[in-house]
Amino acid sequence: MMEEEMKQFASLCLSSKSTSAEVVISNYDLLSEILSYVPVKRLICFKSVSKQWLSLISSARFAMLHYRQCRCTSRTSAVFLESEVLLNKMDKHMVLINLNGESDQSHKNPFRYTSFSHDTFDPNKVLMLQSCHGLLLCRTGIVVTHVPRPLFHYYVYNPTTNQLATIPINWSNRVTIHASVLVFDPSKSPYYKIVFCIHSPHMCPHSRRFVIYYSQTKTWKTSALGSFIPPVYLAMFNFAYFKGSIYWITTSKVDKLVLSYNVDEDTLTTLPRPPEKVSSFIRRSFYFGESAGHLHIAEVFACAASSLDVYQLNPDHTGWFLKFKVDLYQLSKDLPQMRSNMYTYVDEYAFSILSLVRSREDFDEDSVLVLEVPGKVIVYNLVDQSWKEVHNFRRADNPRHWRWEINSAIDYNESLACVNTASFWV
Amino acid sequence: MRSISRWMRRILAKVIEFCMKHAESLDPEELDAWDDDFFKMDNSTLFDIIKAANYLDIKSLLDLTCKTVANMIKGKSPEEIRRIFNIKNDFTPEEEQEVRMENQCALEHE
Repeated sequence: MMEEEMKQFASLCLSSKSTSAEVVISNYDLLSEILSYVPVKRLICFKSVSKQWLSLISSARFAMLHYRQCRCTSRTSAVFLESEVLLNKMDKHMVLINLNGESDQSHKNPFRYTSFSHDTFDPNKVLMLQSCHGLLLCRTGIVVTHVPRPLFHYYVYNPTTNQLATIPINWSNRVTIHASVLVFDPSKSPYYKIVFCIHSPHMCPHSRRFVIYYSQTKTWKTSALGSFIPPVYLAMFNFAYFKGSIYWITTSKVDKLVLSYNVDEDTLTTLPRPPEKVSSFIRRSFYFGESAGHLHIAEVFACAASSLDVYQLNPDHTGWFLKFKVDLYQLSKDLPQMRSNMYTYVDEYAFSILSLVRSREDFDEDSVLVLEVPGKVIVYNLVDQSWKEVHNFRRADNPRHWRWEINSAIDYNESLACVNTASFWV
Repeated sequence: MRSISRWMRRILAKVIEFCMKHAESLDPEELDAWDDDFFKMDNSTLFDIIKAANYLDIKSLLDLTCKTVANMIKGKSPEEIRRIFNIKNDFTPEEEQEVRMENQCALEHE
């Protein structure tokens, strides 16, 4: 009879006059169930309730349970953006832009440079490279003037829990790293991988190789594909990770394709890129990223028409379809700073796409584009075309001057994911 | 034994009431409103229903009751949580301070 079993279990740690509440809370599985519905920020505070609560909330198993429960409701709530510290342009500090607006104080910048104090160069110069479902890939950040080139440290950091893992690099400083991609899918596994696309001195100049780090075993593996030569005009540092594959897009006018590397299957394929509006014009910037289970590309061309097209990867991953259209002309009427900027031609609009955040549900009412225009960051609703300002650079103490940039923002997702998952089943 | 069977009867009646309502009605809005009303109960009954739903393996009821408790506790401070559930604080003051600093708790809520 369950009550008897419960009472026996509870009496090991509580007095025999336990209330029902105490009995339930002392049951590890039931406590996990209850806490999996509590928002991440509150759970971080609850770590100080007791050692049992600390151990439960810090466990990889609970992180996965929590992710499963909350994935339907949670979405990117803030982005990190590079702030120019005018005194020293070498310091690339990231500030947090809260997508709910500056008045929402629930997001203080969680990134702590002090956690990187053991970095061989300068912890304050640590670079944020990429985010993946709440985890950040970071790297030693220095100005490379040394010859031979110094060895970088790579880190995986969870800013929500302030946990850090240093990735043991085992190659020489003569290896060139063309891309480093953190691959993490908490719906499938608590472990992450990092895929490096490298060039070693003995390889011919244009060829590349994939080398992969597995956090589960803390080991490295070279891809069985061996050396390959990527398509021309493929900037390998512009990528998107989506459902087990890493995607790169070419800027070539001849090879109009997207390269896709499936990490688990170790295969390389290509698919056509989305149609370009006017193929003879140069690409000013683009956004390429995943949100809520969809992969999007939005490209901005010089002297383009007054609308921005957002394409989504189709379900069988063989091509793209037009998902959203943004009326830039209409937007520029409300935001005149989008026009006649020193970096734009006379009929161009000055803006950058920082992020695209889709609704979790099937209807897209809350799907938004996070845009930077000169002087501010706005959140633009892709369905009803309304927009609101969420950050003003002139009022804030982090000056920033708009110019054409790619990947200047990194998504922030609250997450309990562990970076050192040695003991998953605890 | 008599007090246990009275408890069982009361809790099982609630569980059956929940199951029957969710079996007969398919309108999610109506169910949401009914659930809101259903869960207006004292804490003791709420936790008893968690135990019953867990034992009887009724997932939908377990999910809803756990969510209700989560909503109840999420706004509370760690000290309040310890008081409500009679949890012993087994940290030393230094250890507790370290956990709070590590997790930036000092900046929030208190």
